[in-house]
Formats: sequence, C-alpha cells, structure tokens
Amino acid sequence: MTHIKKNTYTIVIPAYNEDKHIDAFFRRLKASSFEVSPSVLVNDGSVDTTVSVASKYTPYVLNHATNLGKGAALKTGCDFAFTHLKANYVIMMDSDEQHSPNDLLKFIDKIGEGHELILGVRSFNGMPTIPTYLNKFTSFMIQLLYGTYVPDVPSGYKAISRKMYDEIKWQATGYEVEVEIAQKIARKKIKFATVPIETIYPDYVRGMTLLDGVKVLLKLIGIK
Amino acid sequence: MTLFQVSSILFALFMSYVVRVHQQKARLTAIEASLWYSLWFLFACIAVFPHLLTGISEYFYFDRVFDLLVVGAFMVLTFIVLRSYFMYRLLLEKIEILVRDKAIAETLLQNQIKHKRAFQSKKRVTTTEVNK
Repeated sequence: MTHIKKNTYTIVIPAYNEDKHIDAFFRRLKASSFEVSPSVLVNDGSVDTTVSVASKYTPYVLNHATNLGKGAALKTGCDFAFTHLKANYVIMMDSDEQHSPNDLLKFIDKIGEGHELILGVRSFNGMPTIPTYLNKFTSFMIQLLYGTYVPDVPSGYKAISRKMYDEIKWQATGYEVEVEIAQKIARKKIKFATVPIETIYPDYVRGMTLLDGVKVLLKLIGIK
Repeated sequence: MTLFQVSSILFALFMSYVVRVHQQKARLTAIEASLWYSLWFLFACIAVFPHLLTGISEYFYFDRVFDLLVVGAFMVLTFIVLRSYFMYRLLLEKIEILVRDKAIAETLLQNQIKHKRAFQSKKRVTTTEVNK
C-alpha cells in the first residue's frame, strides 16, 4: 500500500432512512481500519434513527432539513470535507452496505499513484438482469453521445480529488448525479482510473425506481 | 343569455372574489389586484358580448371569434406554464442551497461547542492539578 498522509482523504456517506444498515456499515468501516479521519455522514432528511446511530461513529453528521436527494447530499458532504476538513480526496460510499470497506484499499492505492478521479467498477456477475442491461445501456449512450466509454455509470463508489471536484461539480440533486458525473467525465475528456469492486446486490436494496430511470434518461439527453 | 354565458359570469365573479381574498391577506398589491379585476371584468364582458371581438378576429383572419379566443388562451397558458416552470426551478435551487448551507453551519457550530467544552474541561483538570 502506498503511504498516504493522515487526513488526506475523507469518506462521504449520503444516507436516507438507513437506520437498519448504518450501524453494520460503520462497524465494517471501523473494522477495516481504512478510515483515517472521521467520515462525513449526510443525513438527507431521514425520519428514522439514522442520525442517532451515525452520531455514535462520527462527529460529522450533517442534517438536511428535508430530503433533497443523493446528488445534493453528496455535494453537501464534499463541500464540507474539502472546505472545512481540508481533505484532499473524498471517497464516496453508499450507506446501504452495497459498498464493501475492503475495497477502500484499492482506492487508496490509486490515490497514492496520483490519480485524481477513481471509479469503482462492479462485475456484471451477481448483478440482476434489468440493472445489468440498464448499466450497459447507459455506458453505451454516454459513449455514443460523447465518445468516451465510462464503465458502471450507476456505481456510487468513487474517489475524487479537490481539483477534480471543482471540475465536475454537479447540479443534479437525485440519483441522476451518477449520470451527470459520467457525462462530464466524457464531455471534458477527464482522465480517470478504475478499480474493481465487489458486486453486492442484497434484496433490500431499493436502488433506483422507474421514475429515477426516467430522470436518468432525461439527463442523458440533456434535460434536467 | 346562454347557460355558458351565465356560468362564465359566475366564474368571473368567483375569481374576483378569490382576488379580493388574496388582496385582503396582503398577497397582492393594489395595482396587481386592479389588473386581475380588470381581467375578470373583461372576461365577463367578452362572454356576454362576444361580437366585441369580431373586429379583432377579422383583423387576424380568424373565421370565428372562438378560434381567436382559443389561440389567445393557449398563448397565455403557455406563458404561465413556462413562467411557473422557471419559478419552480429557481425555488428548488434556493431551497437546496438553504438546506445544504444550514446543514454545514449547524455541524460546524455543534463541533465548535464540543471542542470548546472539551477545552474547558481540560483546562479545569489542569487547574485542579496545579492547585494540588
């Protein structure tokens, strides 16, 4: 593992009504010992006990007074980490245990190699059929429209440097954020590295609804 | 007078009442309220005397006054929908900024208080040790 300065990266976790999984998520994160500085949890207007559970593990629990969506929560977390915690990198993880803390080492290694943007890419083995096709379709459309292949667009497991954040700061407030990031990467021909991550698709994962799918499609063709 | 004309007048009267309610609640200025009253008065006049628009419809080469009204209404509605859409987008952006800024400010404040308390208790312990 390449040596990384302490406090170089901060983990940002958006969460909305995740009290069933947030405890297990943080326990696994602490056990992995890759959390060099306290993580930033952005509670996106949850009405359950997400905040009280998360507060046991991190002093940085940011509360959205109302549910804005994943994109807005990520933006709040990144702004806080880069501006107030002076982080050089942010690693984004989902709070529903879809992202394994064991994969953090791969991101840290890539950060050490000097990459500014690292995308976690899942294998299609173990991914349900419909999400697999939607995933491939989104990458295909991005390549068709902008000429760059961006793998696993819906994956939210990413690492981003402060400089790159300024470059691709998104406007999307919901799930469309992943598409917007991929669009910006492809349009601006931004260099990125990829790391293979575990494909975890538990039954409880709500993921995107059909309505989110429509929003993603609109985003792809340039409609907000 | 046809049933349609009667219902149009009743509708205009009801809308004028709505304008009055909003004016009383100070949601509309006197000028705005006057504009809305004029609009509903005009609406009632056109409903009762549609031939008033004959000249205008002929000027724009419409065969019937009704066609002129449909086109006019469509234009007004399109404008209102578009304006509402932009207002809605602007409001969403404002709410997003407000909620996000508040979340960051509150966390910073809470952490400042925690640090201050930790510093004060540390200071108290040190003072007690010195006194001993």
